[in-house]
Amino acid sequence: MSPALAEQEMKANGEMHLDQAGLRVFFDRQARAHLGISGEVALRQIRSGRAGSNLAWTELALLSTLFVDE
Amino acid sequence: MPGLYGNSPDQVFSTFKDHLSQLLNRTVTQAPLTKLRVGTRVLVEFWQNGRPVCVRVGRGYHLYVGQTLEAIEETRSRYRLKTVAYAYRIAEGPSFDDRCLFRWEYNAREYKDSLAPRHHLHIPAQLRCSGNRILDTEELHIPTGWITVEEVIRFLIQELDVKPKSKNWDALLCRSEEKFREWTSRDA
Repeated sequence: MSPALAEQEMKANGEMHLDQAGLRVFFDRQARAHLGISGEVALRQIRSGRAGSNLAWTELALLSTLFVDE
Repeated sequence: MPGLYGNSPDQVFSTFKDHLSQLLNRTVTQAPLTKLRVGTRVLVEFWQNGRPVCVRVGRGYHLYVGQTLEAIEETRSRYRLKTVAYAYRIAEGPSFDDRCLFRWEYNAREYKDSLAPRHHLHIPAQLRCSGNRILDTEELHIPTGWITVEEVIRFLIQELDVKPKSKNWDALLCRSEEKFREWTSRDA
């Protein structure tokens, strides 16, 4: 399911389902919208312990735990 | 064997989320929790209008609860719940940049490379010590034990004077703690 459709599902039912590719798109979109950086840069900062302290970073840090590394 | 088991990831996630929602609704907030599912993992958190939020609790405080959970298939069609990460925040406002007063976090070792204490607390303060040395407790990962949602709720009600939504809040928290102990696998 695409992130856009998934977000509609979230609004309607309080639930959202994504696959790994959808998660990457969603993660990137959230990082750009709320931090002004790409998902790739955000993920690097999180994994190297350089995440910020605001709620946007907390959300991304939790989202990043949904990734299953190839 | 202790743990929350189910026949499918959906079953264990729903059981857990429903329990957590009910606990929060009966103690500090009516705000609904949402579920973002990716494969055998799910992120449960407060969410409104396309973004995570801290929800208002009492007068002047806002709470964020986020947990990543995994359904691990132990035997065919038998799944056990595991906590991958959690983040609890008590902030001064609902949005991304409102000041956070207390921030408890945990990441299971296998999902993060950091060598800092896995269960930890951040507080926006500075401690002067040993002469001119200053410790920034916003940056430090102050070690804690496993922090449960129940303990955060207890802190809000008992220490920060947030008015509980039920008179028997303490009994609700105690019963819920027993259930979490029974359900939650806490790997070393």
